[in-house]
Amino acid sequence: MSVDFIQRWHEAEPLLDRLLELPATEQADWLRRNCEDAALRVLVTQALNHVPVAEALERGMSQWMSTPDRRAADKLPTIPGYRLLRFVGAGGMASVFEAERELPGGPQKVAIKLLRIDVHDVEERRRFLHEQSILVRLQHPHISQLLDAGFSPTGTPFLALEFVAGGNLVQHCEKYGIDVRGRLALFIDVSKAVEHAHRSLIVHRDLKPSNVLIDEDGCVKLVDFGIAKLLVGDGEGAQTRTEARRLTRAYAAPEQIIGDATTTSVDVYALGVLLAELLSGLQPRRLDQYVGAATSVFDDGQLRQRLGVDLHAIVHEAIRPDPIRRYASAAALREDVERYLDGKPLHARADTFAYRTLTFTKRHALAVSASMVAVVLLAGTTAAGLYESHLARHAAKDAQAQALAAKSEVQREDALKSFMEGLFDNVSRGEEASAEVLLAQGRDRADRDFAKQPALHVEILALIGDLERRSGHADRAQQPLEEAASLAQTQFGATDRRTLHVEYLLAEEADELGHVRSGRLRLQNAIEAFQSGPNRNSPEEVQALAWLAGLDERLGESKKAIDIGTTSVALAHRILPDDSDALTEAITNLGWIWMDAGHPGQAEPLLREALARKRALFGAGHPQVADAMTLLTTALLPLGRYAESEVLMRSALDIDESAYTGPNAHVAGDLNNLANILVREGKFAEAGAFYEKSLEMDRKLAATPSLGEAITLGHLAHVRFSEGSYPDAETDLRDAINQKQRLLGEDYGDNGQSLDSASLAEILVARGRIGDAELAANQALAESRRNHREAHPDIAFALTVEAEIAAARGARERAVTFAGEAVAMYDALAEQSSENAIRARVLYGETLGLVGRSTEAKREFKSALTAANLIAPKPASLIAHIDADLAGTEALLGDRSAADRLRTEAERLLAGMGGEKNGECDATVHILADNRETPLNRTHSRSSRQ
Amino acid sequence: MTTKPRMSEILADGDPVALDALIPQVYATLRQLAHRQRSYEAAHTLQTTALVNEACLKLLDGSGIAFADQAHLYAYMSRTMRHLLIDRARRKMAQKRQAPAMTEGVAQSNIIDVLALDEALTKLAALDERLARVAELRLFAELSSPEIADTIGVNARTVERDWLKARTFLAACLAPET
Repeated sequence: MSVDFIQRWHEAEPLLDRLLELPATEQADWLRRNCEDAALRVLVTQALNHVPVAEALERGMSQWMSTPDRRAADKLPTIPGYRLLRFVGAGGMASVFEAERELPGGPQKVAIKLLRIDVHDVEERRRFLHEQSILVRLQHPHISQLLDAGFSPTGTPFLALEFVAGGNLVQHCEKYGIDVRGRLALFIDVSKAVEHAHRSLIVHRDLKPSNVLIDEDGCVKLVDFGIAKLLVGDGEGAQTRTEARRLTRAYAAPEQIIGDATTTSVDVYALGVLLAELLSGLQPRRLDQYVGAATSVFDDGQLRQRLGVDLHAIVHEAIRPDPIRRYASAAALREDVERYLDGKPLHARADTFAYRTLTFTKRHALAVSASMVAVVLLAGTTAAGLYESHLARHAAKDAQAQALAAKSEVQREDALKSFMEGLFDNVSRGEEASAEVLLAQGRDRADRDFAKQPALHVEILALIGDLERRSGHADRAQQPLEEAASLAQTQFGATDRRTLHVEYLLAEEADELGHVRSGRLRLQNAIEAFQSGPNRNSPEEVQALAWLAGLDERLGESKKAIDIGTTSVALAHRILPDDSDALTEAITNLGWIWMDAGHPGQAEPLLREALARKRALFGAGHPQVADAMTLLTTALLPLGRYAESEVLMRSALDIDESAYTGPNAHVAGDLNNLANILVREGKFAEAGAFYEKSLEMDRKLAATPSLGEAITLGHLAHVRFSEGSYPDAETDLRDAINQKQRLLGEDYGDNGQSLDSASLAEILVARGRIGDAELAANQALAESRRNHREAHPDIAFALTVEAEIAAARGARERAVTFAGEAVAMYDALAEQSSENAIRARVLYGETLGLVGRSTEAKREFKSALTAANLIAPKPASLIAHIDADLAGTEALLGDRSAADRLRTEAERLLAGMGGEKNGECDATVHILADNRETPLNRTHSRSSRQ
Repeated sequence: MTTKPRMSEILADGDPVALDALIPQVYATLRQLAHRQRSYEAAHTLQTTALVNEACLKLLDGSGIAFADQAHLYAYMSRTMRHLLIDRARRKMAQKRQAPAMTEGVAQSNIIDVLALDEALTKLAALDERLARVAELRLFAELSSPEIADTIGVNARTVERDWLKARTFLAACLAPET
């Protein structure tokens, strides 16, 4: 086998260059599509799969330096005060011996660890002894106690530890066939030991199965606590690098590998990996230090399959690459495991990293000012219509019950009012209170004042949480909402409307924090529990169902999302009054889902209805109306209705500019959206100016680069691309991608990563870097297919780019296939009239022309032309482009007069375009020139997205 | 390792007195590579001090020795260690032939056979000199990627990629045939 591989090395090498930059899980797929030689494919795959040998090679010199010779038992090292009995084993940092310590009461069995470092320097020795004196104080039933430490006569440091006879945790569970609950119970003990150490500020740094032992009584014992630090100190520069090399890479957190400061969070990460391995039997793998620090050590799909949704969510939360987004502590991880064992819904962690997504959550955000809190609360009505008690009053059958309900309603309002008034008295002496202070104070007082009135307590907690979220602090919203939820659960039960409402608020919040999966699961459970009770068909159910549908859509389950969304709207029509808030929201939501799922035609009437309803409900100048307008434009754009979109977006901008003062996310978003529309209309210069404005505002809003900024940068890249400034486009887009990657981590996958990759590929094609382009396009295609079960515009766009690449490579048949698939997918989505779809069709026509299928090419050009003419205002450069293509085809088919007419038309359009820089115009000029010379050799098949 | 630049200056000058003074430094450098051996003094076939002395001898062997810079020294170090390990492995083989029963079970499956590795590296060098150099520096001098990058004059990212490719090649050569 190896002989063949060596012989074909020069063919294998370019493939390896690409493959080694891909995550291991994507390599096979890439290879299948890019290497048609099956024998070579097998050789390369095998070469990449020699994991044990590759791991051994990674160990370098140490493997040859430390071969223990088992025969030499009589030559065990000597340590004063101990009698070494036998060699037990060797790891990366030390070798272990079983030994006896001479004590007055008789010998005590200990484990002696001889570390594989030299400590000659006095200062170093002092540090070593200081560190160990801290470790000696670390005592816990599940931690193997450090008893003593010192130096052997040859200067090698040693540690004496409590001896643990028995195998490691994973082996133990395998050997005795321990079930999942048993494994989790042991894991909880491991976590508790880690928590205990963390309380003394001791970080293990090297948790892995071989450091988690089970003693003879079946009891967990952690060994080697803090030894990694003993070995390398606090670690900077070269030392950290040494640490990175010595650590077992598969269990090391990304920040350890790249040499960042290590905190307790690295142990949380390692616990997550350990938990996954313990439950799934899968071995974590991390080989490549450059490529892989932030990529998962597991195949995520496989892991999810073996663990199930809940346990997978826990592991996922623990092993996030960004330490800030992991569980905040080992305790938080353990509590989630315990919650799982108790059958309770899992907590999403209080995440300090909130981000706004483009459409779905943004429209729920409100700028909450102190005065607004006051108005809302003093009015005694709650912002989100929490527990619409007036409805309850209407529903009460007899007069007496009505009177009672009314009375309790009045009491409730009074209680809230006095609570709020007290709050203001408390905080607003002197300067004006900020919303933040107000909410924090409210939090404190709620617990005190309403301790004996659970209904009011739940309401006020939920309200505070909801206001926190709406004011852009989704992280701070978590705690009050969680408390409200558990209080509601115990006081009212799962079938109560108030309980469901709080769960709905929690799901909104999880959505905003990006915890889509866990949020969805929890909400679904809450809905099911609610539906089993007597309160079916209430407004809270409508809200919850609508949100559940939205979460499904965010997870790429469009079919399910549309089903549930439709159900929620039907239910709303049936049970709610026509002017109900919840009905409007359900309609808006379903419209958004249709749009996001790639069916703008279905979305448009719903979103238009939502806009009309909001105008009626809130008045024409309300920010909610602006949000509804924004949402409507997202459906109008793929339908080619640019002029109308521009008008709507300008109105939305006006509303938001007068509603919010100072720099804010709403106006920044509007500027961005308006610029997007202007790009489609070919008004690049104006669009660029709006993007710049938006960027400026984003930068004022956040000290560090924000997601909004990254999104705008991506759009700006698109402008540069359309203008034909390809190097600038590439720079901007790469910046945008890097920022998003950093800010979103793994969640980038759910937030437009494939579209960005495809756009990058398109730019690279234009720059002639076909190889790189192909890599990016393949990624885009794989990613979009993974994210969307059904046909989707993102997949179609990735296919279009693949076609462009194939055409540029001269792989004409492949190009035809890809372009054809893209067109078919747009057709299936009923999105033939979006600009991307038209461009895909033009490309399809061009590729058909390349393989001599002129008649079919002509048909595609014609229908593209028809669709392009439906766009309002007419996209001159696109129509000129199609005219030029069609002219060439007509000439080929012998219709000179049609060809001449089209060419004249194209030239007239180009002349009317003015001085704006436009890459498509340049390309069209080329096509026209080429047609005049050799109509057969057209290669300018440049089309642009959107 | 921090004294390296000075050391290389001295080496480049070739001043015999300075070279004398340099010996302990070279000794220390190689000692770092060899120190893990210490814990196994008793257990090992090749004594630490012997190993280090031998390395020193090879390193300073001959009068014409002069390293233009750190890069050459690193290269020399890695090559020296490679040869030392090969020598040792050959010696072990000879022992094995003499007394096969005694050495049984010593070989461990998770340790790379140095002789096979040497052969594979030679094959790799024939195909791609740079990949083989990167592998040698990484395996036998345990240099980090930036250090290797400085040594051979490419950027660290290239070194990483080269190493992964070299590793793949070597793994293919070393993996048990199936």
